[in-house]
Amino acid sequence: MITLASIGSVAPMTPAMPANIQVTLALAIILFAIGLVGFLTRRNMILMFLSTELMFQAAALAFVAFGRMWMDLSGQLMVIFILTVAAAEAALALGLVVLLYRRKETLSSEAWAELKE
Amino acid sequence: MNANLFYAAAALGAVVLYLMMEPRPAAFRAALTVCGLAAVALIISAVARNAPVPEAAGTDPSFWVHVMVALVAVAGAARMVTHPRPVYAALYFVLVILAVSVNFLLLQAEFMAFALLIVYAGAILITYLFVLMLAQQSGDQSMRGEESAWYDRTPREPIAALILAFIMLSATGDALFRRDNSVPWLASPAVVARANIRAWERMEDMPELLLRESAAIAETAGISDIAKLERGADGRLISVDPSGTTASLTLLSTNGDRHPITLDGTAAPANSTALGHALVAQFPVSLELAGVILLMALFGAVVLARRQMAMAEDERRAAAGLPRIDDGGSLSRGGAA
Repeated sequence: MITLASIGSVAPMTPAMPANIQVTLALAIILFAIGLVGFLTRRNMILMFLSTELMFQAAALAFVAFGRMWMDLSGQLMVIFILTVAAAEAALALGLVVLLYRRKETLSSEAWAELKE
Repeated sequence: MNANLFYAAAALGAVVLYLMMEPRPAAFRAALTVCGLAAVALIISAVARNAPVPEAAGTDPSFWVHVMVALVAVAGAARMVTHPRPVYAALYFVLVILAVSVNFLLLQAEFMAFALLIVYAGAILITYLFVLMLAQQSGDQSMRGEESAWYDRTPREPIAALILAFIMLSATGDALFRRDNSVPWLASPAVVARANIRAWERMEDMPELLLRESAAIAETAGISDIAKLERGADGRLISVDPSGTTASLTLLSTNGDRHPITLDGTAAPANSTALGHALVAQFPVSLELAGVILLMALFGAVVLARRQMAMAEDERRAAAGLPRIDDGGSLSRGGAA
């Protein structure tokens, strides 16, 4: 049975089962790949940023899994910094997107194709 | 063999994702869902069968929770990048976050699991939803009677993107199938001992917590007048045994009696305590930098919002036939007016 103690709480110092770590890492790379697909195929600027958030999630998952594997807290600390960067990015990027939307009345990233080169 | 299964399943997943990109009838979508989940299940089984102790996986219930969480997360992520309506895509991302935070719980990262729920699902995603609703009101010109805008229904270069993602997935997945034992998937006793000793050393920096924990243990043994902890000859409060499973310390009661006691793993700091200590003790500069980044983001957002207010006011003035405030690009004057 999964009790709170086996999910983890007061006495965390038991090694993790390798299959659990590997499945989590597999999930992380799948999520990263899907996020990459989303970033490349989506034309909506907001959803492009949302896809990068998905890639952040994948990175966070890999950090926590490796931290669990080495029984070290640094992995979880990295996730705190990922959260910080994600929050800052969301605030600034969304502010910019709204600004761009007011100019062209569309969220399509191709409306700004003249900015290339 | 397992690696080939992994590549085949990843290719199947890529095909499914390609077919999901365009809006489809419901029956076709259900079939795609089954195929996609089968692809993920194949990837997981390839990875799990390749694990150092594969027979343990099937009997451990937490492994099956991992599998279910992975299926939910991948399904939500696939729907998020393919759904034609942006608000639904954002809501599917909330599903992904829920699954990831359950995964964090399973990996004994309790604090991060709840922080992820509160910060991501509670704050960041709400910001995204606000902006989506602000920027995409119904009756938008780009919709032209459809339920979503053309740029949300048509993917850009899906085949090239999927090939790229497949290559990346295969290259990173390859690391999971290394045969050379360079990655110690199962923590060795030395790693476990080091982690335990580090946990007790954290306790050394938290003397009040240590006193409270040990006084509670002493009280169950009938000693209630604990005054303080005695420092050992090396100046440390606790001495950890080499395997790190237990630590011993000496309590002094008010009348000067010495009570040696032994603490076991349950007295070690819980996840949030240990995490807070590690954050301040190991990464103090990064913590300050994170604060600076957040402050700068706040300033940036305020500056951008002020520009928007100035522009909106300008547009209202232009619509009313008044002269524009902003002709030469000095937007701050418009905001103050």
